[in-house]
Amino acid sequence: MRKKMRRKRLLAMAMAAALGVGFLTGCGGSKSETANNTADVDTPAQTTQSSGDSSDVVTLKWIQVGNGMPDNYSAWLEQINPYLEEKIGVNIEMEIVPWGDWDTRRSVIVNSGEYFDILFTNQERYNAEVSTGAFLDITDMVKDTVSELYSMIPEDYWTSSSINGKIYAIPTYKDSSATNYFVWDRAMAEKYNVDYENIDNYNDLYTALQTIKEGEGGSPYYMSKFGAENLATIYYDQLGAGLFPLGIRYDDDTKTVINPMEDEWILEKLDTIYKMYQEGIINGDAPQADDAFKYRTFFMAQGWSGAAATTWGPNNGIDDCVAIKYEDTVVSNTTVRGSLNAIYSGCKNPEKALQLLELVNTDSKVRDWLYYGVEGENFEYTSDGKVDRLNFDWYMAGYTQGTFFNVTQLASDEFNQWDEVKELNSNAVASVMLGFDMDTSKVETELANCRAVYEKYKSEFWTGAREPREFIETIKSELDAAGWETIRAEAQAQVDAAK
Amino acid sequence: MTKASKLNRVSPKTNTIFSVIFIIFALVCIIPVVFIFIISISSEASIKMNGYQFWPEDFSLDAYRFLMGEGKTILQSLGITILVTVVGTILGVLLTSTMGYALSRKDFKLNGFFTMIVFIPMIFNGGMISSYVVNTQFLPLKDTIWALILPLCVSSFNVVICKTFFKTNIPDSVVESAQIDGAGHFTIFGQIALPLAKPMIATIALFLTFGYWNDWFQSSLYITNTDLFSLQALLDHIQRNIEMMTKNPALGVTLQQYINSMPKEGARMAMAIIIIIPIACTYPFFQKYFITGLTVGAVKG
Amino acid sequence: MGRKTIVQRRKKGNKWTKSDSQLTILILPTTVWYILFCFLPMFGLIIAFKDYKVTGGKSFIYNVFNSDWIGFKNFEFLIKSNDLFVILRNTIVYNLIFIVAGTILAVGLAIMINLLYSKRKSRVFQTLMFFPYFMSWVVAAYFVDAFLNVDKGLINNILRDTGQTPVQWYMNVAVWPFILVFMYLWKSTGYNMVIYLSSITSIDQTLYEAAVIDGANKKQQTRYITLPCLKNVIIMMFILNVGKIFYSDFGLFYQLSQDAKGSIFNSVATIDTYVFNALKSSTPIGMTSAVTFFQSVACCITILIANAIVRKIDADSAII
Repeated sequence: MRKKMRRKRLLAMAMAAALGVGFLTGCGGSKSETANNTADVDTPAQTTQSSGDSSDVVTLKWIQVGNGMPDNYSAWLEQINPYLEEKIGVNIEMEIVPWGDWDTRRSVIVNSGEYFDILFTNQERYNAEVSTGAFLDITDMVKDTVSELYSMIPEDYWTSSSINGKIYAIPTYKDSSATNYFVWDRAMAEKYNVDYENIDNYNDLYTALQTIKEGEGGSPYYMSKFGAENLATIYYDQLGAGLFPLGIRYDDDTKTVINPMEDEWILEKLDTIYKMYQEGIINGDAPQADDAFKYRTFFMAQGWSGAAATTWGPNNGIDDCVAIKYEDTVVSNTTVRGSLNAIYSGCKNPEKALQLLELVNTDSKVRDWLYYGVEGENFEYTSDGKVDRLNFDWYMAGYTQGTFFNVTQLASDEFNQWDEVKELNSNAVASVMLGFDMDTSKVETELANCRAVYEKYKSEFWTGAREPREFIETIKSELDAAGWETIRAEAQAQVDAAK
Repeated sequence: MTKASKLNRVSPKTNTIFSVIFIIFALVCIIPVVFIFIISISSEASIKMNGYQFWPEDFSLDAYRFLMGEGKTILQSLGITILVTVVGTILGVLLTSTMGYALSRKDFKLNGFFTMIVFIPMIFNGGMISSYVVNTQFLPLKDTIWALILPLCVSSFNVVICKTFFKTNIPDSVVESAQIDGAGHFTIFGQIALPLAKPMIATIALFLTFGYWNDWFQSSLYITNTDLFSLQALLDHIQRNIEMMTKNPALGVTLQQYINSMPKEGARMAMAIIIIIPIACTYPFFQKYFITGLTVGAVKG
Repeated sequence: MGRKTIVQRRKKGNKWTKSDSQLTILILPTTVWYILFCFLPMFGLIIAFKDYKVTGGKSFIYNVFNSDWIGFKNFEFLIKSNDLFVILRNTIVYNLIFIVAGTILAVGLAIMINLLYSKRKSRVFQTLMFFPYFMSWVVAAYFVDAFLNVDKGLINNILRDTGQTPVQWYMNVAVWPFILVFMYLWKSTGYNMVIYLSSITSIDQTLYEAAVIDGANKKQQTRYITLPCLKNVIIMMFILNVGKIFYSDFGLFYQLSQDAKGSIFNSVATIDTYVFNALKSSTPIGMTSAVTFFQSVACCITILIANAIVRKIDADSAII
């Protein structure tokens, strides 16, 4: 018993000592993580290339979202670093944050002053992160240091990536415009003689789906709780405020700020959606349903028509899936900012960081490494210059890194879906508010409360669960009480000033 | 002391009524778990067509087979979680009970001061980012297993429970008589208080164990090294990765078909089952400490 | 110094004794823990009053102290919200119901389970009643959906089979208080029972033996021995739970109700769900910090009041 007690006492002392030691070592100041990892990263590959001394080689830290750190990360570094070193005197260090952790981690990274060189971001936070001061103004640097990159990306997209006329990030040139599609189970449509290729409005859609429902029963149009929300998000520019009941129609030259939810263009469609919901054409649990993998005969989605074969069909249990374009392709700040790579405002080597991004966007070898993984392990080049995927273990997310257009095509792909994407991009209609971001600092309070109101009602509104014209009155009165008019006035004033 | 003698029991009728009540409660508690289990062995096709059902059209073990494929990483994170749970629980019990014991002593001069030290963090919290900054820049915890253990091992809630227990069950007279006999507080704590407080220790240990087992937030904030993820964090990642990959049309046909062959919905439920079963099985281990009969009276003698 | 009795020593006044030193050393590790993990990060509280801005290359601490003070501006959105009354009412009232109902159920069941003949059965019941604690609310929401889903849910199927009209449960505001209370009790009773169980097992058995000799039956024993001995613990749990009365279990209110919105908002929204919806990732961190600060201060006031009331009635039961 005595021994046990003495042991406990010693244990307590030891713990106190241990904590104290930990405290003291931690006190030794915060080491830069790049310094820590440089030692690991640099040693293997310093073999043949002797371009300059190693003190010239800069290690850049790039933080992205993906599935997590790849298992063969060190092997990957051994492949890519020598090449980067030779080309631009740079070594790379990636941190791939898993999807589930991304929100917390990026908030912490941006706000805590943790060091990074390049950070993936997107339109959800870009405006806020810039106004917090986390990113570097690269407007001049991008034109001077990386002119090849600058000319490769269309001028419109640079405009979209700027805030108050200054560029803070490199946009990823991919499906930078947004197109909506009516997606059908072709077999089912043909069974009921639905002329799906020519259905481009909700009234015709209603008639067609009615026929299908009479024959098959169930709910042919499966909606999730997002409902028809992207009618507002694509065709109305939110001006960077992130409040969907506030926007300017993409083709409105008068640039009038309105509430898209009460715009006739939307309400008339919602009338039809409401009818469909009442009649059971839309699933009754739509306001609560999540986007899970269920069979659906018809639905609406954003993307490109090639996705019907590659994604929408397989995900939704449709063997023969076809997508018909709906309305215009729109390019706006939101669509361009789907993927951005920004540079830290305290970055020590911004020119090198830009050069790295330029290499990623122009050099196929580098792009393939990032997109596919380790050559020989994850993928191989075929004799006609295409790519064979050897396994599916590569955890980095291609769309966060750089353009799709210099990714070597897969040998197994029957058609090059990027051709279609390029075409959609070039035929896109630019939003009249391209390049404009509202300064929300004066209306944060009203924005927060209006958002709460919107979140309260959005699912029941967009899925047609309630009669839209009555419902919009309730929503409007609550929005007004939350200060919507203040935001509108402020927005309109800024829009008018920018004309 | 063993269980109450046959003379001091409730009537058989009452016992039956109680048993029935508990059977109902137990069923209500367990049926959802059974439901989740059934979904985890439903075939993906029947889930896609009919949603979640109590009796699916097709059964399939694909979800578990799929998770076996990730078996190595799952075992690794299971190991991490067990290590973190055991070390954290032991550490937590020691730190908590010592504080609780000291605070239960009315004649401790610094009682008020330390009560404040314990009380204030219960109410006020500096926020996620400042904790992160202290833990990574001030203390070298980033990407280490200690980031999973240390921040969670003490909670003021537990300290208060400890304090109340010691106050109620270790009367001052016992402590005083031990002190007269020349024992210091270390001895009293180790030889008298702790053994008497077995049920309370078991309670705190239980709370700590379950807290560690369920935690995924610490991993998500501090861990990049895949070898150090806790089980919950890993399973959450697998789930999200599947979801995000399926939403991405850019990945190409073959990858989509591959993803499509994964039993996504079933896997989600299978993961929930994997989380529940091991930890629920440890509960009986704690139960044996909740036995009647340890009395202060025995020590008095 | 001769051998003095404790009583004499204490009467000497507030002199620092060896006993005090021993206790202080005993709790030193724990105190270090508190300093490192609770008090050091506490400077983050001031973010609630600042317009937080980042300067490139500078540390977090520099950024915090360098940002401008904006007083209570970050609190405005919560104060000005039209739903403030609803969310405050919901948060507080639900918590009160949970505390009262939860305590009665947990204490009652703990006493009952201790009286069962078969200890083996009581162990099995206890273990089974613990399972809900391990199910995350996301998973529990699937289960609830299997019952309440308007098209495929069990309840509506039964209604249809018996010729009645199915109900949109997720849009019916009246039922949700019952659903939420039921689900809360389902999830936490097993867990809450543990504290009371361990307290019951710590009760001095000789008290029961003496009562039996005096001819008391089980009901009287429970009333006059078990409950009074549990008094301290029950009051302690009550005060601790009151100390969280402005917080809510996010998963319960948000995930179970499928995002706490629409027609059922008035029954289901709490401060935490409201703030989650109002503050998106693009909102300044000062505003989230302000909400937490508000909840902290409110809870501090309530717990101190509760503690003071308890102290007036029975000084020993107060926890502070």
